[in-house]
Amino acid sequence: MSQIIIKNLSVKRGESFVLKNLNLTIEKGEFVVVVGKSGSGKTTLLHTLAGFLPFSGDIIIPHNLGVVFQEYSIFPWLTVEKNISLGLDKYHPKERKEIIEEHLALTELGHKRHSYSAELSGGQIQRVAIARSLAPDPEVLLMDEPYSALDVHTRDKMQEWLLDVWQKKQKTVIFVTHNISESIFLADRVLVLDEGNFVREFVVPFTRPRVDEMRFTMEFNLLNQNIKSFL
Amino acid sequence: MKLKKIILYILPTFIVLLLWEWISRKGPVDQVLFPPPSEVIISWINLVKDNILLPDIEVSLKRLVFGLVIGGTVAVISGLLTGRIKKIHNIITPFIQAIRPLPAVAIIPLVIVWLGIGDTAKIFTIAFGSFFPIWLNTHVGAEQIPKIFLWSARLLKLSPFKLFFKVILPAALPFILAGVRTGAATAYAMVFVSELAGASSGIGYRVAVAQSVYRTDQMMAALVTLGILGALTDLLIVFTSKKLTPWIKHHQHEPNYH
Repeated sequence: MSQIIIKNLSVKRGESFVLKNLNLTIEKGEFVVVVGKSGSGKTTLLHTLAGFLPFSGDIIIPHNLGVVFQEYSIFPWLTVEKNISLGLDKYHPKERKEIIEEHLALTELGHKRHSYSAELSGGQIQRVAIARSLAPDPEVLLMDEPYSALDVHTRDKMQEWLLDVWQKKQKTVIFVTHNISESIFLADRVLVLDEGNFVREFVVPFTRPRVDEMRFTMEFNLLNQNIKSFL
Repeated sequence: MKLKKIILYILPTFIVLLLWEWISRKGPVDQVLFPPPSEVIISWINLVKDNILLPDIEVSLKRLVFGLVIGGTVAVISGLLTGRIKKIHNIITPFIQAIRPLPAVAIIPLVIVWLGIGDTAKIFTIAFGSFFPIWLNTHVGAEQIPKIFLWSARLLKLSPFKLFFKVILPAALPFILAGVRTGAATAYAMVFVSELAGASSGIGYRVAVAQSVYRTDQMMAALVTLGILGALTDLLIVFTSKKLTPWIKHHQHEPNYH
């Protein structure tokens, strides 16, 4: 059953359209990656789905959303643990504690639970941001180029970590990136966004769990070239 | 290493004092007009011994603390409101901005007419002077909160109470504290000026009295006291700021190695 339905979505900035008559359907538990050049409307799409921007058209999406931003969005004045616990008011204290521990374990930063973001690396900050978004148990996770500020090595590690978390949590994910290799490694489906509309959809044929070696196969590189030709 | 640091810290002051002593004793300036530091220290000790200076310090500090707390509280509340709520910003900010360029000391004659020469008038003047730098910093601090922090708070479904205490206030806090630091310096200036005329106690009053009898040594002793108190207050604010903002790495400009 479709969990997210977008029909004729348009978003204007000033007089020009950033997104125009966009349509998309996403199944529950699916990992969809949207790729596009700078200015193609990727971030606008995610911010619109999150309810931050006005739009015309129809969006059916669960209210319970988690969003991970491109910029570091964990609160620098709160420790790792306090950041994760911030959105957990609806839970009983005992349950809250369990959720915090579970998500601290996810970040693999249990030993840094009392650290502030100034004491963490970029990859660690984004792991905390993802754990904080997942802790209140959202139905959908929207991710806006969360790894764009990371170096290649950290980025690859973080992709594997994210897939591991996704397997455990079984959330629907919409991930936005300009990195084609990242999109293939993560996605069930890759959608190419250009000038505010989807121009092509690719179903990624690789089985899960995905491993780093996959990036060096002929099939992976052919798909990479194919997607690139639409950007 | 620590001793070297202490010596380097004290050495410039010591050299200045030595130069001052030498110029005053051997230079072309009259010692009565420019007394050497050794005489200023003796005057200071005598003023303390005669139970004159300490009551003056007490009175001035009381006025300063009351003025700063009242001015600061009003400034922080109004700064947060004008920085975060557009409607309030549109109503209040033009009014504050119209008064802000006015030198704070310019209102003293009017305050004396309104409130007399008692403590209330002085505290009002100090509060008035310290209000503007604290308001401006708080306003900017509340206004600059990055959108993604507010969006994150919305996604985490924070209550208005939590939104204020866990997001808005800590985000604006470094700015507020910087404002308090500037506000305290202004408050010191206002204490001094408000006590120069129409007062019967306080450090400013002591300087005015000493001036009327050409006791430059006593004037300098009172001024040095005011300077030291100001520096100590600043140190206290910096220390408190560090305790209140443990997430800020103070004086660490090297990159984050991880």
